[in-house]
Amino acid sequence: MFDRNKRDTNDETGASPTFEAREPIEKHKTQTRAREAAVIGPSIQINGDLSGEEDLIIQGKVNGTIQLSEKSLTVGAQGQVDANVLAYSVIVEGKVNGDLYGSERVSIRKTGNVHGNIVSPKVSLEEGCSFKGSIDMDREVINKAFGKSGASSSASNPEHASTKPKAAETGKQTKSEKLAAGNDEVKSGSTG
Amino acid sequence: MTLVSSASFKQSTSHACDEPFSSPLFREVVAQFDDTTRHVILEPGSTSSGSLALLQGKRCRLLVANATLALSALSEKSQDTASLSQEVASLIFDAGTEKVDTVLCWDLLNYFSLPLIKTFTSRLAAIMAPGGVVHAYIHSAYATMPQYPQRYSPQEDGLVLRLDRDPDARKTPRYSFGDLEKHADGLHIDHSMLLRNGIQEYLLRVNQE
Repeated sequence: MFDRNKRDTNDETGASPTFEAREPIEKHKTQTRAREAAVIGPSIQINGDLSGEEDLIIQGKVNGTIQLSEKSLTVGAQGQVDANVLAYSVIVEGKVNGDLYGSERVSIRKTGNVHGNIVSPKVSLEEGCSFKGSIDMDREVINKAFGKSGASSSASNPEHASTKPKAAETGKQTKSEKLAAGNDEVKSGSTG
Repeated sequence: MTLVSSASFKQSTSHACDEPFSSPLFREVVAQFDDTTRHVILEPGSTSSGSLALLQGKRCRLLVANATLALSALSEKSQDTASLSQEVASLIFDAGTEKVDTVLCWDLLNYFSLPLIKTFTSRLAAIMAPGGVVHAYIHSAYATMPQYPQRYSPQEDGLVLRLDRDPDARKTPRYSFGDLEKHADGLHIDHSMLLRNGIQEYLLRVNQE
């Protein structure tokens, strides 16, 4: 179901990733951060939850949840994701409707269109992108979201002097909260 | 309440805010952001890489409503207060279980009618923490301004830069201190300062209950 391509991961530079399918092997040997990436092609649509242990590039449509805790997700320019995402780094060049949790970084490129909330220590929005939602770079919230403090996720309910819980919202765990808490529900369906 | 009527700004044919400019009240606002106390900040428009850089490493959550055009378009419509309130509430979402501490309006209020300023500030007061602040620029020195609200970005040197360079295309409403004081529902003017580039900078604060 998935194509396999090589991908240059150059998140640190902020440059766009490349997607050449068959680059010379020698070139990749010199790139210490080059990794295998699975690709969901433009004609593929997935309804369900994805999890995996490798980098993923989405050029098709995904509805559900995506969890790549230690890996990178790239939503390509043709990609359309209607899902909450948890990954090491997230790059968006296409459309996302959902919450993005990046333990290292979330980057929205100029062609990116995101409607949702971002939780990550480093967030970049390129000139020309469209974003509507919230951006949380608070280290404590991030640690909780990624379970680093041992506490359950409370990305949308951190300690704050002005916090006033609403009765209607208490006790209700959102899909994104379940995802950020590492809920088992997201583990069905794998990129394998 | 402090009104600092200052400085001889330079009248010229082009806007002086095309260059990075000093914005003391904005500096005062961002000085609160640190790595110990959590702050929730709302930008009714879009945000900039400068704002993100400013907040990185701080205990901050930034809400981006991306509603500049939709909000300013409401000024063109004549409608009753209830439906206007409903439309503004749908564009300016709240912070969930948190309250907003700071709102960065930049020059957005210049594009609102006075009834819309009233409705908008009322909405802000409803989603903000008591004592929270709203920062705004009011064009007071020039007769014309760009057709749409412009984006501004804090710079590394503490100055503010207007990112968009749209030409002037409409009349400036030149809202006065009294206009804002009268129509800012649920807020009061805490501080105001006339900048060298002719912008009147305002800090409005949510009324204590």
